Amino acid sequence: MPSGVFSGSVNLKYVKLGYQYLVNHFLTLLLVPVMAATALELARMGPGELLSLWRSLELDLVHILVSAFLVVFVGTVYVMSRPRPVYLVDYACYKPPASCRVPFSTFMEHTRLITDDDKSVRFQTRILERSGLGEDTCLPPANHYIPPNPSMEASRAEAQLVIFSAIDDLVRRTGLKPKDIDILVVNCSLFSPTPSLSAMIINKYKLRSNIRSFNLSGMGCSAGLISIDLTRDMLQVHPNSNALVVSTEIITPNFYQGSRRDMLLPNCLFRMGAAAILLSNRRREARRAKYRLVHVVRTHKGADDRAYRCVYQEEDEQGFSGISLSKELMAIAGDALKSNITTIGPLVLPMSEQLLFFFRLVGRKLINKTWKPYIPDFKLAFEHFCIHAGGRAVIDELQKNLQLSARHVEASRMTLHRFGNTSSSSLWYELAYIEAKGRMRRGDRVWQIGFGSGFKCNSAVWKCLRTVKTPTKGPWDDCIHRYPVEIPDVVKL
Amino acid sequence: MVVEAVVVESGSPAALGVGAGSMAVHGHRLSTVVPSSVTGESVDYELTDADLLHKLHYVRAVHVFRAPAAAAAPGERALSVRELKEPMFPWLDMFFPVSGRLRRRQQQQDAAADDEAAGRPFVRCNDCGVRIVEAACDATVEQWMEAEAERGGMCKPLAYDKVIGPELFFSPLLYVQITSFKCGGMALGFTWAHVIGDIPSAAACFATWAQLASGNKAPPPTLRDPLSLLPPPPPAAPPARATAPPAPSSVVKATSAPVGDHWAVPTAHDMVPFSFHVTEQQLNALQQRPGAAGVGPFELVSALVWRALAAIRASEDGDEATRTVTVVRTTQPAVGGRRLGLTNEHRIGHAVASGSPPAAADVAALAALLAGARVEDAGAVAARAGDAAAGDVVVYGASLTFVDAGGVVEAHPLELAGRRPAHVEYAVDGVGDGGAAVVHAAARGRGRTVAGSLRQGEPGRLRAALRDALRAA
Repeated sequence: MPSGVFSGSVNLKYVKLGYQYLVNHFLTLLLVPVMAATALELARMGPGELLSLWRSLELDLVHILVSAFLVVFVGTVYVMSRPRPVYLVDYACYKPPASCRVPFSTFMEHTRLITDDDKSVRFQTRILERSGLGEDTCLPPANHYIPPNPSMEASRAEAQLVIFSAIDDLVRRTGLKPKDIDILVVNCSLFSPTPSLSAMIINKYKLRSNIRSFNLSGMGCSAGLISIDLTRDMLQVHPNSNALVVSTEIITPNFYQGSRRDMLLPNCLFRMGAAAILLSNRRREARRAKYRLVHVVRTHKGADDRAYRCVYQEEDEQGFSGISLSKELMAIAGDALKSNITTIGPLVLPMSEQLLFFFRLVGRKLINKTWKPYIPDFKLAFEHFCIHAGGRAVIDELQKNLQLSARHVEASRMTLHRFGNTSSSSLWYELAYIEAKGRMRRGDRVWQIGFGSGFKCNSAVWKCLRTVKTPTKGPWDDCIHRYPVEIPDVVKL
Repeated sequence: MVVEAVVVESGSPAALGVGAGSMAVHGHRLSTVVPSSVTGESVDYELTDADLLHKLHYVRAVHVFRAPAAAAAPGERALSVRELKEPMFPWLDMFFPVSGRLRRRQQQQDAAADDEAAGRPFVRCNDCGVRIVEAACDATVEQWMEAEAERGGMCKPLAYDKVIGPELFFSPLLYVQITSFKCGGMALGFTWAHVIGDIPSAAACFATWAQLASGNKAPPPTLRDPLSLLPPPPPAAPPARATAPPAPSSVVKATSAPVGDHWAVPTAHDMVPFSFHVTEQQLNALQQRPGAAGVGPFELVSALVWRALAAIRASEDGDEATRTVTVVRTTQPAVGGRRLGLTNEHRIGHAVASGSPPAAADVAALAALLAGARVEDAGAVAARAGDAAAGDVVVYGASLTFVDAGGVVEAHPLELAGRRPAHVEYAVDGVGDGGAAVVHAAARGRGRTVAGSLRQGEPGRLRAALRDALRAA
């Protein structure tokens, strides 16, 4: 009977809600009656009895002083040993100019003119049709030439363009003075000149000579969160410091000129982008900071050979260098995600979900091996999800694994559509999307998930400290009114 | 280091540097410029019959700028390639059909239409863009101008020589070549597919870009609605053509073989570029001649060329071949409006020298014939050509063709960074065996420039004959 089923499911929903409320507020529910009973007892006893009770304890000055000292001592030790809070003051994403725009038709025409291989042209057309990218994505100026012009000078030019624009935007938003930067971390996986990109930034902005700078290269699309992790550790060691984190990927030197199919995907998906983030552990920044870093969890599956070789840069038979993506990529990504969830789950999930997971696990081991493992409902732990926009398949896979609704993955899909796969900076474009839509409220928790070669799955959890007002003056400003758009499964070219 | 030009594309005649090696244009680098905002999904620009009549022809416009003087004002310095490219993005927003690509109507669409609609080319405005070519020339602008005055035909290597096809899908409708000279001067060469617009349309389009490059603001792209700016598709049933009398066949001529998707005119001879300059004094002298009183400069200059060419071709073709010439008169397009100023609205007609053969006729008499030539709208010509219009026809070059581009240079000046070009040439390429010449007012002074394509071997003889004729005047 439909009405019976309906009322049955509604009943189930209320049972679930009741269970969650009971378990998550267990301590409160326990303490409230105890406190009420004590208060009632005290009220009943009256002041005279209380005073005689106090005198019967026979406390003298020494006792009181020692107790007070003990309390203060324990309190101080506790406060001093807590980790320093890491605040995200603000961040800026690079918005490419319209003169870098590459519509689908132009991309296909260039491909056709560069290569004689009909099959690889058709393959790239199919990829592009199903990629989830839009017509607004941008490639650096060198890639607009037929054939592209991947010189070192062009790569440096792109790096300067994207990085300096992002940092200039960040300086405008935060009023950051170059002399105030104590820590600088730059991550760019595929372009690593000498001197490094961090040296390039220090040179351009005349940063201090005792700055602590780091340049992470070769660490793939999840390197943005690795930079955040490194910065957090540095900020624990150095009090009262500002840290500038720059995440980018330089496209110019990495255009694959051969015809191996597993290496052609990055050509179709990777686009230019960069993000500059200001982190700080200064107390006075807490007032204007947007987010506070709660957790960073890193999972590395490199010990497994299949995972290690799944995203592999090598030369093909003709000597062209490219990044080959194996067919098992989705499966390995799913595995890495499961490992990451296993670690992050206990840190963020409410007790109700953890108990359910625990009981189901015990049940699988002891009672019935065919029970499916319980997938915790992460929507209870987070309001917003930023999934690395690595490709449509990645977002689909994660949406299925985490049982997320279309609205939760909207930021990821729309970032893929508007900006393409900008590698490590895509998480920041997604966060900017959520803010531009006016959905970020004080107290909201955000989960950023990045995947990268290695194979790595890294997570960061942020808590929003102040509601973000629109318009945000970010990369989405001129087009947010058009989003979300309906992205067809296959675009007809 | 001097390197011979290597501009050989499939299907087009090799365009090596004309004459001495030092004038050669080399180092071509191709890139693409697209509209700055998304035009939309499946936005189609329909081509009228008049447009399709000209699909095998191309407009070549070359503007040569001298290097800015050493003591030039800051606003007058030379523009870099990047500064020339940047304004093209909003420019293409305004002229989005130019950055589209040709497609043919599929059989299964338009079920009500008859077979003539199937296979009909149209432009899919998919933002594919225009091709930009960066090249270099080892001569200075002065040396180049001397060579041009001496030999003519030097503008051809300054515009990219590529026809539409063999794949319609991937053929840009416009090429812009930026050639840098040794002295710091620059040449801008446009190769514009005639199917998208005639000479004044092209000139207006380029002038708009120059205004943007000089700092004028473009209208914001979000305010334009591409669908409202485009004309409706042509009616499914063609107008009653069977009842119209057959047109005189000299105006348009079908090609000897279908060209398919490779839009180049098959010619029996090699067609080579030709140019000649008539100074103001020579023009005045011409107009002093008896009988030349009421005739304009276009008619006089064209008559000179007609007579000289008839004499040159008499030995090969006989007297009759050059009796009929095609006359094309251009009109100024309405800027903006439904077709964005991209129209083929010029008027085409023909003139016949019925009395004495043109080689022996009087210049003034020929000029009068040209002035009196009956011209009709390109649309009407297309309608009368009937089925042939849907096929492959040749307009320029079916017989010797003269195009009156009048004041196109004055009406649509290309001013960059406050400077005007030292030399401007508008010509047509992809013409038939008859050859074609465009007559327009020169860039500096009030002489006339004649430029176009003629058969191999003719330019030299024609220039000599014209020089003689003008000296005798």
